[in-house]
Amino acid sequence: MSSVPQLDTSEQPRFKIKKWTAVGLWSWDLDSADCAICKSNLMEPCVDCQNDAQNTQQHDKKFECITATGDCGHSFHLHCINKWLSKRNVCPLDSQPWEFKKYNK
Amino acid sequence: MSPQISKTKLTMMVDFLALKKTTEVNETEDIKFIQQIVKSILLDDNNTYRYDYQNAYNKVYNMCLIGLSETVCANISCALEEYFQAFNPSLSSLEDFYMICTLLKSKFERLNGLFLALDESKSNSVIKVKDQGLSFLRLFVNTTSTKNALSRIFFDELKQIHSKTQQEECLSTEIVYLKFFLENMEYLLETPNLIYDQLIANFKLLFEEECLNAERSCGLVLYYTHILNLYQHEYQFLKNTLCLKDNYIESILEKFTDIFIVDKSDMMLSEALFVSMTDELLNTKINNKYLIDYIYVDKNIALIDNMYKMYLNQYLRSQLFQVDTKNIANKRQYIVVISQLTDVLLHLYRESLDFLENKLKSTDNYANRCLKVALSDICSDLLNTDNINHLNVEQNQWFMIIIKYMDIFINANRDTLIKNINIEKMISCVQLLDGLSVDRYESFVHVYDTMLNKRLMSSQETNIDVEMSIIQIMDTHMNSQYGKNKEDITRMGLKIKDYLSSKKTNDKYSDSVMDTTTDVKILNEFFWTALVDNENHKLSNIVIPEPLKKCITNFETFYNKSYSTRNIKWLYQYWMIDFDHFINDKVYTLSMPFVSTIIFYHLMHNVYVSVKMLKQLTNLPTKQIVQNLITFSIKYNLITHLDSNKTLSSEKKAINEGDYFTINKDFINDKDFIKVNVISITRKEGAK
Repeated sequence: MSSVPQLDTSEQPRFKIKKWTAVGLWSWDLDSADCAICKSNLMEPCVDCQNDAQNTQQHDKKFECITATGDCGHSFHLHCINKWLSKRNVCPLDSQPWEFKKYNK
Repeated sequence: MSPQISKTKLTMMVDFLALKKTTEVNETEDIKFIQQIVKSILLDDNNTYRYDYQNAYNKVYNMCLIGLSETVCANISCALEEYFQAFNPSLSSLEDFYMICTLLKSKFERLNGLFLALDESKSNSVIKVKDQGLSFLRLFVNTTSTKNALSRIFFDELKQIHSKTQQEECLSTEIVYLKFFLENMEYLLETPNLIYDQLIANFKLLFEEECLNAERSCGLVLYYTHILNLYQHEYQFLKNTLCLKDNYIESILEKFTDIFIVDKSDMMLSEALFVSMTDELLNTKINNKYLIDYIYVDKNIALIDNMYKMYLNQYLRSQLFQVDTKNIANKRQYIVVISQLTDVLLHLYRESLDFLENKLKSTDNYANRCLKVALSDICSDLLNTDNINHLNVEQNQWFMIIIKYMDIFINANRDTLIKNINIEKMISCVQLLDGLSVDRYESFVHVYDTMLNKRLMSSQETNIDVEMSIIQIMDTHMNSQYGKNKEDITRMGLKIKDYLSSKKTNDKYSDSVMDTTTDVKILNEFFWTALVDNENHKLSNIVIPEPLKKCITNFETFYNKSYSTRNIKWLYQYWMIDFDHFINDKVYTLSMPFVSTIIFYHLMHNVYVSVKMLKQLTNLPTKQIVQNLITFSIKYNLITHLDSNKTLSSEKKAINEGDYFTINKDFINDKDFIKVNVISITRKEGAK
């Protein structure tokens, strides 16, 4: 890299940010994009929440739906995995005993 | 017909007058005398004295006492027969009929008085004698010639009276004769219904004649008013003047509707049906059915639907004609035109819907429902057809105009409280858009979504309440047909919620940052895929100057505290940085995109920079560097373009290899805030 003539740094700070307008996209740090139980994208509410909200026209309900990741690293909608766990306490994908690792919101 | 005088009372009267005192009977003479009296009563002989009448009564009484009732009857019958055979009254009016009936009634009342003493139990013929008058009248009325004559007279007079009552010139006596005729004929005729069949037939003829006149004298619009007036008149005439029973009134009014409404449905099937019907007419019921029930019948349904569509089309065209879509000079005029066009369509739709739902009356709302389908068909046709309307905006597509209008509407109400907004218009827009075909629906979702993105990403904040309420309106009113799902609408709703959540996060962050205002939007990748474009890839490896890097790091640390499981991908192409630029003893605030900011940062921190140097410092594509340098130097004069010898370049637009750039120390501008928009560079055809 060729040398670039620098200005005297003793001068007053030349670059002062007054307003920062930025846009970014967030996504969950998950292995899979879809919930293996309801087949909906994990970024969307689960199928039950979508249907309930559609039937009752309660849009807010769709936002109560979060996802959860198990110790095994598999992620599902919290509603979906809770429903599953009420029958079998194992991960639906690898049949390992299920332990919640984190809740994604 | 005639009330019988009480026998008890008469007997008492006879006893009082002592008429029974002479009991001698001379059969031959007495019979002759009685016959004479009977004849004189029947022939209205005024020479007969009251005494003779009393004497005859005595004779009948005496003969009956000795059991000669039957002899008296037989001889009287002869006299009656003779009279009847000679009976040929003049019959030229209903008044004549009235007189005949009244006279006969009075004569037979007198005769019945005379024969009061006849013992009914002794002989059947006695009853016959007493009933002779009525029988005779029946016989007379039921003769074909009499029936025909009466029928003709009745119709003539009915016609006259009907016409006179219309002009309110009818005399009450004339009506009395008519009513007398109807009442008595019902009693006298062998087939009583005949008179009413005839009455109905007569009215039918009257109506047919009347209808011909109405057709000639009334226009399409006047025809309705005329019918309404006529109907009311007919009803009053039948009910109050002729005092007919309800079932006869119904039958006659059925003829009325057949002739004036059903048979003339071609006159009814005009635009007047949908425009000029007054509330009075719309609410009018004929025989428990609304007017439209008579018109909207199987044979007319297709025709009415088509005519209704034609009317709507014509009305729309006539309104569109008033919107000048050819001279749109600027954005403001464009917005006005879009609004006017949509208003025309919405007005037509809402007015028609209101008419069909609230004003038009039909039994069980059958016609209303069918015509609503026709209305929705015509709207659907409009929205799904191209280039027939010559709208001159938005590719001549109505649905695009409506979507654009919704965008204009939301932007116009950016600062209005939701309670003060007339959201009904948006409901109508959405209802109209519900008629879109499947591919158009997809276009609608795409365009609306793009506009929603734009509004949400705009520096001027959109009205979230309005956005959400429109999404809810779509959720309620759209996709009801064709089994389309509401996934796309739900997703747009979720997107708005996500935007709101991001806004709240930014507000929290802003509170914790001193000196710098922040507007950081961290949006759900799943709902905002449209934001990702090729620019992302181009900017993935850029070198970010330290002050900006610090901003990012600080925010990410803050964000991670609330959302530890989220990853952030920055979209630099949407960034804007406002920073201070101190030059010539004045502080300017420059507002520019992220890439421009990085380039300008290096210009501020280095005496001279070349394209090559900037490329090394930023890792930006050459084209973007050149684009920004030209923008700074030519468009805004913020920097000075030097040649390879570091003297002022003579080039105005092109940048040669080895050229340098430096901050323009002589920069001066009246404004304190300068927003930098990067110019686009396009190589002209034929240029080297």
